[in-house]
Amino acid sequence: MTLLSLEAATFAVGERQLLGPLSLSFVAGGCTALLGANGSGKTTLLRIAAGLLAPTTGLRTGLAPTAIGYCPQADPLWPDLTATEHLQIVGGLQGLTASSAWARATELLDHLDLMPHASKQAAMLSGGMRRRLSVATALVHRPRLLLLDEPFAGLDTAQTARLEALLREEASAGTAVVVATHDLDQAARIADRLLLLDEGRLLHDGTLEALRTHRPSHRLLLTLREGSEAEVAEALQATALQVRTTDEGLAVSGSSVAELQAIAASLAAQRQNDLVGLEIRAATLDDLLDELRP
Amino acid sequence: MRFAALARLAWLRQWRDPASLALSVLTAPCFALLYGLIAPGGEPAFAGYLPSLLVFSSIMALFGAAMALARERAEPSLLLLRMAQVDGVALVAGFALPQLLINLVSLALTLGAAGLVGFRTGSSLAAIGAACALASCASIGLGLLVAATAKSVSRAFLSASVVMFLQLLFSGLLFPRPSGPSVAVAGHNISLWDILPTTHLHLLLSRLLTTGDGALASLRLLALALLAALFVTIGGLLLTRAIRQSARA
Repeated sequence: MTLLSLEAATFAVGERQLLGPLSLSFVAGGCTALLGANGSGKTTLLRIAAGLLAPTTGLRTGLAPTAIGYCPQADPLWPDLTATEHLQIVGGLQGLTASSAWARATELLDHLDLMPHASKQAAMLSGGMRRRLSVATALVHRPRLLLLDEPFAGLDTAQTARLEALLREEASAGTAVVVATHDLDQAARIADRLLLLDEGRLLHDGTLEALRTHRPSHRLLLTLREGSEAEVAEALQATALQVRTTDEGLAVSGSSVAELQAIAASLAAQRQNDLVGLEIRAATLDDLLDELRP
Repeated sequence: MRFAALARLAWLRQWRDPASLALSVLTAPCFALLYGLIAPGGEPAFAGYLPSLLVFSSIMALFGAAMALARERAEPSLLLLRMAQVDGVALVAGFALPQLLINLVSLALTLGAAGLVGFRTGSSLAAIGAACALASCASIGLGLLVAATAKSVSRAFLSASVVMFLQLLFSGLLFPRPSGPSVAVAGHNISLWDILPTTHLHLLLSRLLTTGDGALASLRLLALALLAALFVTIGGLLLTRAIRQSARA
């Protein structure tokens, strides 16, 4: 069931287009990771989906904001209220009865390991605790669509795992969960759908597997002697390899480590004098964006 | 449910700032005690002082409401109100009620303190209370207007100060009321300065606390009720709009 759709939605401030045009929809259940570099439009997209911003052109149809839970990057907390008070008051604002809000607050505080800090004011909580409390405020009214902007920022490994488990649980219970993140590995762990944004444009909407099938999974990074880059790049391109000049050096994309190891060995033998260093690594988010940019 | 949650939120935020709460509640009673204990002149002088003190006390509600709501507008937590799509009536009632209660407690303590130091009035305390409650509502309404236009707490404080000066200087509280444009309605001359709640409250209290003139008091009470309704409605509408359009959340 489609909960929310954007049709040819754009968002512009003055002459500057920050997002779109893009069309997508969110259906009940499942977890979507929204990936992109800083300034790619992730937050703008989430705010439009949350109903906080109206698209400049195009349409947003579907759930009202009250059926959506949204946790922005800046913790939306009252510094002088305790964790329990936050959840009870937000529950009340969202129309829960006092007893339902109390029960849900207890459940969420327990799930997010905040129970020992339930009576602390938000200003007295650590950054990670405040982050978890912010996520809890978005969840308290059992939203049908949950939009989280960098929810794992500042969390340690154990708390990250706990929050990931909670999000998976919510998704399997039918909530559509959308998480904006920079971390490709984390996206792979929690999401069954990936939205890749770059400068406001949607570069990919599908599974991580689909992305990796069509895009190289690994990169060989070559650091070369000054002046030899162009010549080496030309030689590699002549052998039908995908080669890009990046800030880190010359990047050769490949679909397997073995393929790239063979190239590295051949280069080491043939261009020993030009080669200063080499590294093979799994493709990062930036690598994927490099590959997908038109 | 939403109103109750908002009222709880507003009350908790007041409660967690005990110094501000104490200043809001105890300033006027302390001044009443101080004047009664050390000022010369006895009851006649006190009868001139007490109305002004109660008017000042009602003006405190303007600052309280303006700054509390400007703080809500300026903090990231505004998002929680926006996502809940809180309606204007719940928003205004939820935030105004604690302010009104604080002001009424202060008023009761002020009258109690005045009584302690020997002041007696022949007027009905209920009438005095009604006048002060209506003036507090009007002040809170002005506070909503200030909060709707102020993007920070410091701006709200400055704007509230401007409104306070306007009320002090043109209501006849400190200086004789200057003549200004006026219109005659049903045999009554209505001046431009009648738009200020303090004009009516000061005249009302001066009469109630000294002579107990009932006929004029009813008209002034009505004027205060109309001003309170006007300011709360306009302030509430503008504040709701400002919150919905806020770029911060």
